[in-house]
Amino acid sequence: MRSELVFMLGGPQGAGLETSAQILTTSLAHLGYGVVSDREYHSNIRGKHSYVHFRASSEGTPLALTYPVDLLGAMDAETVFTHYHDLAPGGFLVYDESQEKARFDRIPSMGKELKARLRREFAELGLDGTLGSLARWLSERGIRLVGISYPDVLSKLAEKYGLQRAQASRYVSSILVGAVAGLMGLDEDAVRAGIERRFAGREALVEQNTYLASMVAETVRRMHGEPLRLESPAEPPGEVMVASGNDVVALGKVVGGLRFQAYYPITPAADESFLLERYERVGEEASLVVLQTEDEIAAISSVIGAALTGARAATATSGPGFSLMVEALGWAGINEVPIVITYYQRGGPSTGLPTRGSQSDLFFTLFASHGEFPRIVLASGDHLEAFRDAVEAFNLAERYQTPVIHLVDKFLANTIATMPVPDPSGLRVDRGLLAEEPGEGYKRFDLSSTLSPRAFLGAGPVMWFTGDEHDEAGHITEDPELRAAMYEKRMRKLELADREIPPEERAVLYGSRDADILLLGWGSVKGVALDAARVLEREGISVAYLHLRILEPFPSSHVRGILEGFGPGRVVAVEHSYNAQSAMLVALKTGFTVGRSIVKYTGRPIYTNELVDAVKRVLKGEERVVLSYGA
Amino acid sequence: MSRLELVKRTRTDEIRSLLRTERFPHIWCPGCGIGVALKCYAEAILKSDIPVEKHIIVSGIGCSGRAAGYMRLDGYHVTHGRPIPFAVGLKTARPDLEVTVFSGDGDLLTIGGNHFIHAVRRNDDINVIMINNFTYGMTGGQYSATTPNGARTLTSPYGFIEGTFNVPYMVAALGANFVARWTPLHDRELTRAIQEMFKIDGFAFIEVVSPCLIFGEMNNIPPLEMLKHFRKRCVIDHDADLSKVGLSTDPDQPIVLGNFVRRDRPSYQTRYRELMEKIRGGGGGRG
Ligand SMILES: Cc1ncc(C[n+]2csc(CCOP(=O)(O)OP(=O)(O)O)c2C)c(N)n1
Repeated sequence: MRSELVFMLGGPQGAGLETSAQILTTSLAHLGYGVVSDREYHSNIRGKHSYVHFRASSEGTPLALTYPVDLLGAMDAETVFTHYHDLAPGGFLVYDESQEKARFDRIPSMGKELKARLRREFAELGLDGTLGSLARWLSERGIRLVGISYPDVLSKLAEKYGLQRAQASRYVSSILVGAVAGLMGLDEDAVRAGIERRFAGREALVEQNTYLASMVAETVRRMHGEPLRLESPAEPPGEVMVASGNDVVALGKVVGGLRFQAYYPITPAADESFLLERYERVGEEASLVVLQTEDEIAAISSVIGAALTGARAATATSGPGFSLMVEALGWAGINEVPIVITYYQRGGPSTGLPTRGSQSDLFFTLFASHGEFPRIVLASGDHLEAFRDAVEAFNLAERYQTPVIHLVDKFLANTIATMPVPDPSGLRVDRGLLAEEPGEGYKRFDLSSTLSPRAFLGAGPVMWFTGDEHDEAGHITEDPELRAAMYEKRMRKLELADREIPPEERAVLYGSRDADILLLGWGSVKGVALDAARVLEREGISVAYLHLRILEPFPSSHVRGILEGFGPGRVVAVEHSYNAQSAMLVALKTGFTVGRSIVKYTGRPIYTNELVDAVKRVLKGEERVVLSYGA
Repeated sequence: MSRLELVKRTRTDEIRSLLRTERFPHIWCPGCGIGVALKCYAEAILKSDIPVEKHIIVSGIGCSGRAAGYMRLDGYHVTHGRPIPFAVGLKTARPDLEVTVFSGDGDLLTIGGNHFIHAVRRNDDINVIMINNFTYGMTGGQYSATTPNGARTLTSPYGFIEGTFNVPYMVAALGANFVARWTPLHDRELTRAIQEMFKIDGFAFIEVVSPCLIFGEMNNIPPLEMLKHFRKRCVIDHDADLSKVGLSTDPDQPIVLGNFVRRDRPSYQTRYRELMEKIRGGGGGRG
């Protein structure tokens, strides 16, 4: 028996793939397995090929995704054509037998670049371009075929419940659920629990999907046994959560005391706000307002407006939206307004790859808006970090009275993972310095200390804010000495933050200072770096990972100390970008030149298998490795 | 083959020649109205006296915004909300080109609302075809500035309460030279209205009230039902009182269609040219 399974489900967007993914993830979580999955999809509503890539383990939540896959579940022929390369030797292919005559070059939704690649490949292999011929070829090479006639099983379902044919075709998602459940030997109750959770309250759907999944599971089991059964989970399942990155940030914000969120819908950020909208109706009193504004300029502006009244206020966006927010960001900077911007990076520039990931906006967030003012930029590496950082972002914003940009990315946003229910008892709410009973003489920008106590708009004293340079009371000034004093007061807040936030929390070293090689990364590189380190360790290569969590204020001397211990040739920046911006930032802040890089900018995440190979290539002397795996 | 069939066949072939069919299948859902509106635009181009190569299409971001990419014309697919200023720059630099903006309600009237009102105020000589599907289709069905009050969207699950633009009323009040509203069911009228637009010097606007699968799903109206719904509710009245043509979800309220406004205020580009002729001729300058 195996301790781990990598599998993939694919199909046309909007055909129920997400339903299958949710059901399987919940079922596996019920049984105590750890699961991560990433959803890859096109920027349109329905029809184009999309897939979900999973890794399930009996030893806790896997750190990253990897190839090849042990099982490919295909809703349609396009999935098989697109991913047949990804199957491991001896892997399983679940597909629709009735589609064997389907030809790759007749599939309208398939891109012409992929068709051209397949035409070449199939010509070389001597295949005639049909699904049937590809399946036979795979089978000759040891792939085990699990052919199911989808129309047949759907018509059984239709008959039993008196459904129309067209209606029944919406249940394909449960064929995949059944096939995976059968091959993995998943307990029927666990699958039912997954289905119940997905279709909560809709009894007929629960019943029909359960029937279909069990029927398929039974057939598959009878023909193939349970070849993909996982070992029992190492630890008995405690309380776990199944959540996406968007979900955990939303939860973190609520726990952190969010009172006002304004946003304009944009991929991959908006799901966070949609979840927050559901929390709007929780509780007796109105405690959270979520506002969809007419654009991102209005979103950030209203967030600033709310924050000045004392509400913990935030927005969530991605690159195009943040581009529009930049002007108001400066207003928040000069007025020392604590706001939080959750920034989900996607592929740029401009509209770029709207539904694909990237880490190419680090420098943009560090320098966005004209003039100089402090900001804090923190980046989360995984779900638990994202949850904690969502809370911490408010504390930092209010403590240092400045905008905080919380960087995440599409990979994290759309990764659904099992995770322990976060324990909020260790978390604190730090509102920073507040004015006690502000009266007549209250000055919001009191120059007698770096941090002036905050009062809230409407709390008593007359308060005044302007985007111009201002005096202690907030009124416009162009006096050179006052200008300098106010400028310095603002900038000193960052120096204060630099002194107060422990450097080891800002840059976290995993592994030993004596390792053969040090990977340098931030954000969603964390999981794959640690996973690759584990794999390489088994092969006798010791790998450490330096995780940059707070990028501004940058923990310069702490990082320099670690990097110098390794030397330029043994430090490798790993990033989803072209420039490896973290290496540039390190050079800027520490003077240390990171000599090696491993980058990826196809919009797909870095996978463990390719990072392992790349590290080996770097050890052999390559300076820059560009990764590209994944459809 | 009958004459009529022959005529029809040529038309279809000609229209196809204006489409980048190699980019098909398009991204639109079955039952969506955007494709029909695009076909009407293509047909109007063929029927116009303006050579095809003088026609330019500019789109923003959204399902409707993808239209530019399916036309075999010079065009821009620009940033969200900005097709009008891109088009204004283009038209002002090359007044000889026939510039049409084709985009969605979210793009043009929500995030792009500011540019929209200023282009109408200035009376820029551009054509604007706005697909009003009441929602942000591309991002999964959030409300927009044209969502009717009471309608359910992903972000107004209890019914929309913000208030809705009565689009023809607003655009007419701002001073546009041409204001019309049609649906994809009225393809002949729509085509004719687009042809009309090409002749206007100044801001010309058509709202295409269009079925959207996603919006329909959230309001329990399947796409075909939606079309029937349209057929039942549509009333053509070119002289309608525009203050009363706002759209609602009430199935008993009419959807008023027509070519409502036709004016001939000179466009900004014309006035600019005239002004330049005047001052460059030495008349207005200080030499
Ligand atoms: C600055 C910015 N914000 C948000 C988005 C995300 N976005 C893409 S399309 C769209 C809405 C499109 O709605 P609409 O214009 O009504 O067109 P439809 O898709 O309905 O045709 C949004 C919000 C973006 N691309 N850029």
